[in-house]
Formats: sequence, C-alpha cells, structure tokens
Amino acid sequence: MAKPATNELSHIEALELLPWLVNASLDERLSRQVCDHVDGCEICQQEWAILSSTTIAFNTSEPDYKDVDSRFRNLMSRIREEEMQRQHDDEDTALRRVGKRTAEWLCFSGIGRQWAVAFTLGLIVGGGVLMTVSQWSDSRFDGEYTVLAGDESALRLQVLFFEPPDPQALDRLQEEHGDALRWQRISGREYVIVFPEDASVGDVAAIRSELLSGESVQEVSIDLR
Amino acid sequence: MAPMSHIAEESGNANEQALLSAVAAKDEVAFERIYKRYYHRVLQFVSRVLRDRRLAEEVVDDTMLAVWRGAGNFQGRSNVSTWILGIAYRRALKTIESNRRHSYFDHDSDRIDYSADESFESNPETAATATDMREHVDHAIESLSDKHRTVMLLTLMGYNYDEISKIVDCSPNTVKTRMFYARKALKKRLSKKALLTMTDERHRNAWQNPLQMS
Repeated sequence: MAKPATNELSHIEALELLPWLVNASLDERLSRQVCDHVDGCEICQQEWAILSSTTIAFNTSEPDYKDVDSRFRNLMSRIREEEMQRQHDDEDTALRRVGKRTAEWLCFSGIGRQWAVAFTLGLIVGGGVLMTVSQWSDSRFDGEYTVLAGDESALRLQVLFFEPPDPQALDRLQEEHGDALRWQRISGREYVIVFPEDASVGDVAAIRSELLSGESVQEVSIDLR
Repeated sequence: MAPMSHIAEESGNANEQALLSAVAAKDEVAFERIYKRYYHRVLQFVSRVLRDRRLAEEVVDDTMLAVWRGAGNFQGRSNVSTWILGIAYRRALKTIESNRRHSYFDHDSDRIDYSADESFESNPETAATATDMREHVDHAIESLSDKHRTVMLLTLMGYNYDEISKIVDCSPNTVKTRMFYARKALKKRLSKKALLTMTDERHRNAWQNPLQMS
C-alpha cells in the first residue's frame, strides 16, 4: 500500500535526517519538515545538541597548509618524471612491435623460425643500442636538468612567481644579463625567459639558480616547446 | 599551456568545472589552484579514514595525480568536490586493503570495542573545554568501523546524503542507515563528560528552528 502523502515526518524519519539538518545540506522542504518535528520533540532536540556539538568540535581543527607548496612541487616533479618514463616505454613498445612484425614477416617468407628469431633479436638489440646512443648524444646533463640538443636554438625558461612580480625588478634582472635575454609575460605570475641563440646551457643554469635563490620565485622549469 | 589567470578565485562548482577543464588541457596553474583548494579537505578526510598521517599524504598525492590524469574524464554528473573525494575514498580503500594483507590494519574493524574510553573519564563533572571536546570527538570518530566512520566524516564535512552516496558508491538509503548506526556507536563511544557537556541545558536550549529565525 502506498504511503499517504503528508507533510509530517515520523520521529524515525526526522531522526534519520537530523545530521543533514545540522550540516545545512537538506533542501528547504525537507528542512522545514524536520524542523517542525524537532520543535516539539525533546529526544530530537537532544540529538541535535549532540550532532551540532560534534560538528563544531570536528570543524575547529586548524588547517594544515604549512607544506602544501613543497608537496605540490614534489608532485609536479613526479608527474614530469612519470611522463618522461611513459614516453620512453612507448618507444620501447613500438620497437618490440616492429620486431614482432619483422619476425612474422620473415617466418612467412620461409627462412625458418630460428633464423627469423635470431635476426629479429639482432635487430631489436641493435635498435636499442642505437636509440640509447642517440639519446645520450642528444642530451647534456649539467647537474640540475637535461636539455635536449634539438631545442638549444630556442632555450626558454618558464618562471612561476608566488606573486605578480614588480616590473622594475624584471628590468633590473634583464639589465644585469644583457638585452639579448627577453621576458615574456604569460599571466600575472607566469613568465617565460627567451634566451638568445648563442646562450649556453651554463647561462641558463646560472639564471635558473639565481631565480630560485630569491624568495619571490616559486618554480623555474625548462620550456621545450 | 593556456594560463587560467582569468578564472577568479571564488569557489563555486561552475568555476571549479572550468578549472578542471583547464587541468584536462594540462594547465599547471589551474592544477595548482585545484590542488591547494582541496589539499586540506582531502587530507582531513583521508587521514581520518586511514588513521595514519603518512599513508594519508601518499593517498592525497595519488588522488591529485589521478585528477591531473583523469580531469578529461570528468563528465559533470556530480560536483567537482564529490568527484575528487570519491577518488580519494577509493584510493584509501585500496590502501586499507593492501595494508590489511600485511596485518597493518585490524582484519575485522567491527571487533572494535565501542565502550567509552576511560582515559577521558577522569572528572565527568567538569564541563569539557573546546580542545577537550575536539579530542573526545576525534577519538570517538576514530574508533568507528571503516564504513561508519567514512559516512560520519563526510556528513561532518558538510556533504548531503546524495553526495555521500556518490562518493562511497552506495544508495542514499544505505548512507542514512550507516549514519544511523554510526551515531549510535558514536554516542556509546563518547565519554560521559563529553555527552554531559553536549546535552546540558545550555546546549539543548540552543535549538532554534533555523527556518523560523530566517
């Protein structure tokens, strides 16, 4: 039998909904119904007192913001490392796929399974060695980060300030390092430094260290676009 | 990278959805805002679900990593807050499961004794101070079973039962039932001193119909 439509809640229903009256998340109609019941019910008023005291006590703990910046920076470093690793894994998978196709093709061409496997293994090992050598020669490690040689002609640093920086401070920095170095504003706190074509990795590293040693810069990263 | 400086700081789900769309486009500034906005809330929730601060911090990082990777999958069927807390809850459950296998957590949390903690009973006649009360409440919540504690925490954090049902992936009626038993267990677990303070005349008289007041 369907329950008759009524605006009154039973004691059990009101008691059940009480926590959400206390945290103010019931819609207006339900709030009114629960309130109407609690007005005349001493048990529910007592329950309300316990729940509201519990809610107040629970929500008086101090927010823990002290290391949120460093935790965010660590997470971003982890994300970047994992993305580089995934890219590397994708290259490995592609190499394995090529190897498998080659082995299948050789088997079909009738040179014999053992020869096909040996030839493919040779191809994979050779390809792997070639890729490693090529990555090694394309990169240079300067103790802090790796810069891909292909992007050297347009070295850029992304700089994230804690607060929008003073334009005069940026001018001073530019004067100290010569006019060839250009600042581009991306947003209030985010800037990109574009280095001249003849800038060395050492120049970039020096400016990066200098920026990070100040208190106004939150993060400096290489922009490889 | 499309900077999100044009998005104002005010909260609100539409604003948060815009931030999340920017995160899906790999905007680090938008991600930083989401991270800072939710760090405390997720940590507060997860550390109480897991009862271990170090594990909770790992779960918060994993949750935020999932937000960074999965922001494009958010379909707007729930609030951003509900979506993020749901991810955090599932990660916390996985952590509990994997640690139970290594006997870190109790195998059967229902075995917890709900009788009131004697350490808080030294002087039941004295009214509890605000700090005392917070300790009493924290202690009592910690002693609830995993499912009851989760529903209790989310309610205290201000979520309604529909949102909680999405976070913990069960029906709204199950949420109401769990909350009913969680309250019963909490009352048993709260010290006499805390209960006396909570239900004294001053507190009971504090009840005033908020709708009539407004």
